[in-house]
Amino acid sequence: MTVEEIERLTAWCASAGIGEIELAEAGFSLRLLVQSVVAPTPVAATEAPKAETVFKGVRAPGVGVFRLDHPTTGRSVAAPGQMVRKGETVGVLQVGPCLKAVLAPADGVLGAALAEDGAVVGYGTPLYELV
Amino acid sequence: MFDTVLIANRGEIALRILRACRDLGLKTVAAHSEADAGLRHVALADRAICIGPAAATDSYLNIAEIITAAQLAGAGAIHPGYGFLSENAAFAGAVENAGLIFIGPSAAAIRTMGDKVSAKRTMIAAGVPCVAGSQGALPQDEQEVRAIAEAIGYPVIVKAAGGGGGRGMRIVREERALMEAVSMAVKEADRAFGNPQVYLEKFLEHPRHIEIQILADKHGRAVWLGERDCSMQRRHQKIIEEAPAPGIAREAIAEIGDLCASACLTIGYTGAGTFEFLHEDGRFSFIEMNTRVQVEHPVTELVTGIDIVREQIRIARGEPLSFSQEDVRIQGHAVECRINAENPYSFQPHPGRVERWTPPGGPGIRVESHLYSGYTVPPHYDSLVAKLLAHGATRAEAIRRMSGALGEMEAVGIATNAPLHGLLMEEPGFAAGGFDIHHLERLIEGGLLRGRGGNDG
Repeated sequence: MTVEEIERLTAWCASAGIGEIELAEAGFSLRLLVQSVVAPTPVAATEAPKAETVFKGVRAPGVGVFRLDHPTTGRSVAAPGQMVRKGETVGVLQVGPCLKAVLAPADGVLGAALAEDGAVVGYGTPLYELV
Repeated sequence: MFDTVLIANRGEIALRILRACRDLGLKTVAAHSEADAGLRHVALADRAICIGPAAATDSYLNIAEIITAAQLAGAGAIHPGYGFLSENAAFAGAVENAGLIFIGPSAAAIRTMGDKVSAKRTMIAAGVPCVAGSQGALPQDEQEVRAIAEAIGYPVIVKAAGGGGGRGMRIVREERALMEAVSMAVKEADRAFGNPQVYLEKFLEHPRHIEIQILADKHGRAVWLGERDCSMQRRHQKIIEEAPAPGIAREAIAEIGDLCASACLTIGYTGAGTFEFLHEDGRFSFIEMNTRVQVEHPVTELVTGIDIVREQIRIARGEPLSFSQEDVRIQGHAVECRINAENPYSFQPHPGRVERWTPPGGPGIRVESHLYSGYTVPPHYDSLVAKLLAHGATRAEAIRRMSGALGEMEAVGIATNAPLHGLLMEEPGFAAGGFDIHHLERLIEGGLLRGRGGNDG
């Protein structure tokens, strides 16, 4: 690990509010105690709460074409109003011949689809409300 | 030929690429991480697509997602910028295999020049002077290694074939320290670069860092665009660059420049690139080639009037260079200061929200930055937030303009190293020009930062 990488790790810990971190690998170990000297300035502290409201629904796991209907069966993968369990497949992303499952991040009732069938989506694009 | 370019980078260089594309009438796709949705070029691009979470390994280094994004967004070419995947031969190859155009040299050229041992062998064959050293990677046999070091003459430096940017290097001043240094370097190189090969070079005590910018098209033409002096460094990281290099005869530069341009033709290199040299006692010695656009490319743009990023894209489109070597004229002097979001004296990174950004201006000033008031500098990436450039008829004028610009610049909410640059503009060694690559570290050891709240001096 270079000094620059350690500096970056320190800054990252400070901004994430992590006070202590230990890393170990073969022939190398590192323990960082992050003191409040590098704690966020008052300016940064007031900024934290107004971060955009976190979307709690189903997000795209990567880049792909969003499919409401499963490309092989032709049937819809999930319907609005349906109860889903955490980890259940609720949609499909298509990348050429490959399919990527879109999973529910929590138990809940699936809301309306937020992206159209065939839309190109990116990592984290909201796909369904989940209530 | 492509009409849309996917920008696989972030920060100031992503914005620089976007502007070059716009000048050429090309559309742009900004491929960004989740932490970078607020970047300026993401707002300006024709289309933006998030390729992964903040960690670079999952986004800007994620080859599969970047290529998928380009294909789905209809981009025919990918510009890698600098850093991240820009010198990754596997990435360039994957882009080519996907039927897209990599804006840069071929995967084969990146591979040849990326391995320091093969790069050096190639340069020697092309007639470019290199530092005296081992013929390729060191052998296993201890006696042979000792004999090689003896022949080069101490001090020597052990370097990793797969290394770069100052990583994986060890200086050895006497024979009894040699074997331990070599075995440590082998272990480190294996761990850090996945390539245990190391080689030996003569260690130069007081070199300057001088580099030659080249452009080569796909029609067998290559030109060199003068040199840059990047000797102001801390821990092998450049912080100030300038062109032309003070005190080096133009004939000497022309001679090495011609060698670099013809080496491009020998190795089949196309696009923009930089040959880096150490310069000591009037001699140039090749150290490595950067097969991409560099951070400091605008220094050369100011003194030559040539848009390097635009030429890079034109070359990727298969167009011939729009000018010849005879058209390249060096006008005046240019200086660049790299502005990092860090404490100027302790060098601790200082990301955060920029409450107010006021860039400098006026005659001869150019600012390359993605900052705007209200932008939050994320902690996950390199701390470079702006590049200030000053151009003047003379070096003294460029430095005066830079001092003024540093004083004007305001980035309220984050700390930057602008005050350190301000000190350096006034420093007698810098004002004189021609200092070596250890100059800044010597200044720091001599107490440049003492009493300024840093812990480095």
